[in-house]
Amino acid sequence: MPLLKRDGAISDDSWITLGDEDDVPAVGDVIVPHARLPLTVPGRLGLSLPNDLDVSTLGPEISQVCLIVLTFPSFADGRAYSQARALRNTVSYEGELRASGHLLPDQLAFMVEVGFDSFDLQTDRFPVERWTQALEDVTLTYHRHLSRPGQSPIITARHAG
Amino acid sequence: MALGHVLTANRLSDGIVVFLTATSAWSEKIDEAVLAREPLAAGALEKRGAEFEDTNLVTGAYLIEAERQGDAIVPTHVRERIRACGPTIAYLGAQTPPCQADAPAVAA
Amino acid sequence: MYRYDEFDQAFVDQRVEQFRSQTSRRLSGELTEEEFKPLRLMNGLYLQLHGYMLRVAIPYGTLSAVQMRALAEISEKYDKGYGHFTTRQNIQFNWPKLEDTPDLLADLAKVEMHAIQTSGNCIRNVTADHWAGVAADELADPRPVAELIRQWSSLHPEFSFLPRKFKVAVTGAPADRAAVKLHDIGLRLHLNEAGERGWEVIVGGGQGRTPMVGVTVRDFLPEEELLGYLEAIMRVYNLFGRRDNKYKARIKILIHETGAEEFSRLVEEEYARAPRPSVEIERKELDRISAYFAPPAYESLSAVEPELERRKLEDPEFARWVRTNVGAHRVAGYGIVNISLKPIGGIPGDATAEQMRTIADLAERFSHAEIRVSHHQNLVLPDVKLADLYDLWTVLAVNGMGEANIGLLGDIISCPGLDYCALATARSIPIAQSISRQFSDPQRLEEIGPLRVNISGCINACGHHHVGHIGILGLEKKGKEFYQVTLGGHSGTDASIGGVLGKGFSEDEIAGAVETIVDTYLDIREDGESFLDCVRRAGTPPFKEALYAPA
Repeated sequence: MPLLKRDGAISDDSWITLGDEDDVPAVGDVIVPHARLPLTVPGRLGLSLPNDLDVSTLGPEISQVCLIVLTFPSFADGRAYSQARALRNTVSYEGELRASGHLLPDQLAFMVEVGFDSFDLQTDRFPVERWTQALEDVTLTYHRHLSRPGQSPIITARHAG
Repeated sequence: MALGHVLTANRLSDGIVVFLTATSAWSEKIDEAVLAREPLAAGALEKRGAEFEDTNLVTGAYLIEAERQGDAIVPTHVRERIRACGPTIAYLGAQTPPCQADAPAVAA
Repeated sequence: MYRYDEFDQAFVDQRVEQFRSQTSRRLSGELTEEEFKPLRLMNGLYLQLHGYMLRVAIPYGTLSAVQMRALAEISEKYDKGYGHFTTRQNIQFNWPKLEDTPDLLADLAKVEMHAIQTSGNCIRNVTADHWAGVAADELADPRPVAELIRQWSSLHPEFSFLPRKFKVAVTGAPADRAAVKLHDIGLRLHLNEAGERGWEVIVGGGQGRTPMVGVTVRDFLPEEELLGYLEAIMRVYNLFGRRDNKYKARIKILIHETGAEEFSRLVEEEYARAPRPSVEIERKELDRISAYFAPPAYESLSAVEPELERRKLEDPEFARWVRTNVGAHRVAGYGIVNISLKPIGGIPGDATAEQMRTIADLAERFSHAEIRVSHHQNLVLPDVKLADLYDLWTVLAVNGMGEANIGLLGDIISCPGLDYCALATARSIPIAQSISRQFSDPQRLEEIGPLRVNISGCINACGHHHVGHIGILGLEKKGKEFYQVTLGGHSGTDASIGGVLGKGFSEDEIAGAVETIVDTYLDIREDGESFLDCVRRAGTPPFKEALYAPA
C-alpha cells in the first residue's frame, strides 16, 4: 500500500506490519500491536494502537517508539482524531503518526491538523492525485492547536503583531 | 385488485422523485411506472435500478408496494403516497389543489 | 452584529470550493452516495422525501436585513420562493438541486453565511436566546461567546466525526428562552459578586427518543476557560460515547450510563491534563468579537409613549398585538417585536420571499437592520421604538404576519413532518393547521393564556413535543397516522419533560382532543393559574378523565 506524507510525497511503505503471532524478522523496521510490548526488534519500533485505547495511559515505553499507527475502522469513526491529539498534546509523542484504515481524501486536512503526518492510501478507491490535492483543499482553520507545519491557526494570525 | 411493486428513486442531479417505466426510462409521474405483479419481475426492476445507480443517474432506488386503480397507480403506504404526489398542504409552488395523499389507498 | 473579517471570508470561500469539487465528483461517480453523504451533510444538504433539502445556518439566530434579502433571493433563484424557519433558528429550503448547491452556497458566502455543520455528527449551529442583547432581564449579551463557539466548532478537526450530532445553546438571562437544559451542552451566564462573568455548564440534556434534562457540571466557569473546558467535554464524548447504536450515541446516554459524577470526573481529569488555549489570546479574541455586538445608539426616550397609548385605545386589535407580541426591552421607549410566522391555518415557520423582503425592509426602517429567528419558528425585530409600533404592525398585518398569538395556543411549533421529511412517521403540519383553525379567535387565545403546543412527526422530536405544554407526537401503525398526546412539558428555567396521557388520536380527532384538554383547564384552573401550573398542580387525571372516560 502506498504511503502519503503530509508534504504530499508518495512512497512505498518500508515498515513491516506484524500481527499478534507473527515472528519478528531478522532485519527491518516493524510495526507491532500494542499488546506485544515489551519487545526486542532488529530495527526501529512502530506501534499499532487499538481504536478504544486511552492513550493517556501510555507509559515510558513510548519513548523508544518511532511510529504510531492509529486506525479508522470506518471514516465515520472519529476516535482516532482524539487519540492523535492526546498523543501530540498530552503525551507529547513526537515520532511519526500514521493514519490507517478507512480514510477519505476529504478528511486529510483534519488529520494533518490533529497531528497525523502519514497516511496509508487506498488507491483502489481514489486516484493518487485526489489524495495529494486534498491536502491543499482547506488550509485555514480556527483550531487552536494546529499541527500543520509552517501555518498558524486563524486566531494566531488574527492577533499577530 | 392489481397489487404489485414499483421501483422508485431520486434523480441524482436534482433529487426529484422518479419511477421506473416499462421502457427503462425514469418518470416523475408514478402513473407511468411499470407495475411488477410478481416477485421475479420486481427483482428484475431492482436490478435495473442498481444499474442506474451505478451510472449515477439516480440514487437510493427501492421498491414500493402499489396497486393500479384505473389509469392511476396508488402506493399502499401513506408515506409513499405523499412521496409520489407531493406535500398534502398548500405550499408555494404546489400543484393546485395540494395532493390528497391521505385519501384511502384502496377504493371502497 | 458580527461581520466576517478576511479570515472568516476566506475560510467560508474555501469551503464552498471544496464542496463544488465534492459535488462534481459525486455527479461524475467518483464518490459513491455512501461516501458523499457525510460530506454533503456537513454542508447542510439532506436528501429528503421529495428531493434535496438545504439547511442554512443562522448562527445564534441573528441575521441582518441584507442577509434576509439574500435568503429571499436564493429562495427564488434556486427554490420555489419560500423558506422554512426551524426550531434551531436555521432556515431550510425544500427544493434545491444538487447541481445548483455549490452556486447557492457561493451566493450565501457573499453575504457572510454558510450551511456548514447544520447536519452530520458534528457540533451543530450554536443557538441562543432570541432576545439576546435586548431583553430587560439579561445580565449580558451571550452572542460574543456564541460567535466564539461558532468559529471554534467550525470544521473542528478533532470533533467532526462524533458518535452523533451535538447541539450547543447559550443564554445570558435568568429566564431561559434558549432551552439550555435541553441541549448536549447548555451555557448560562452568571455574574459573581465582583461582577465577573462565569458560565454555568449544563451537559446531557436533549429530546429525541430519550428525553433528558441536562446536569450542571460547572457552576461558574471563567469565560476565558470556556473553549478549553468545552474541548475536554468533547474529547471525553468523542472517545467514550457509544458508537454501536445510533439511538444510544448522544452524550446524554454516555452521562446516564457512566453516571453524572463519574462523567464530570473524567472531564475534569481531561481538562487538567490537556493543553489549553492561552487565556490572553482568548481574552483578546473575545474582546474583538464583543466589539461587534456593542449596542446601537439608542435614543433617550420616555418609557411611556403617548402616541402608542392613543393608538392602543383606538384599535383594540393593535392593542392585543402589543400585549401578546411585544417584549420588554432593556432600554426605555423601545420594545422587542416578535413577528408571528403562525397565521391561522398556516404552515408554522414558513415565509415567502416577499415576506422575507418585507421583514428586511421593516428591520432597516425600524430596528437597526437586525433580525432574529426564534426557536419557536418566529422572527424578532429586537430594537423597535414604541412610537413606531403602530406603523410596523400595519405593514405586518397586510403581509400576513400580524397575528397576535406569540406564546399562545395559536403559536404552534411544528416540524415539517411527513409532508417533507424522509424520517417522519406522520404528518405534523396539517395537525398544526387544524388546531390553529380550531383556536382562531384571538380573544379566546388570550383568555386561555400562555400555552405551548409542540408537534413532532416522529420520535426524533424536531418539533420539541417533549417540552410542549401540550405535546403531540405523530406515529404510524398499519399504514395509518395517529397522534400521541403528552402534557406538562416545558423548556424554560424549570424545564420538564411531558408525560404521555394515553391512547393516541386520529388526525380528525386531535383538534377536538386539544379542545377537551383546554376546556378541562379552563374548568379547573385557579385564579391566575397558567396552563402549565395547572397541569403541574392537578396532574394528568382530570385531563385523562375528560378525554377517555366513557361519555
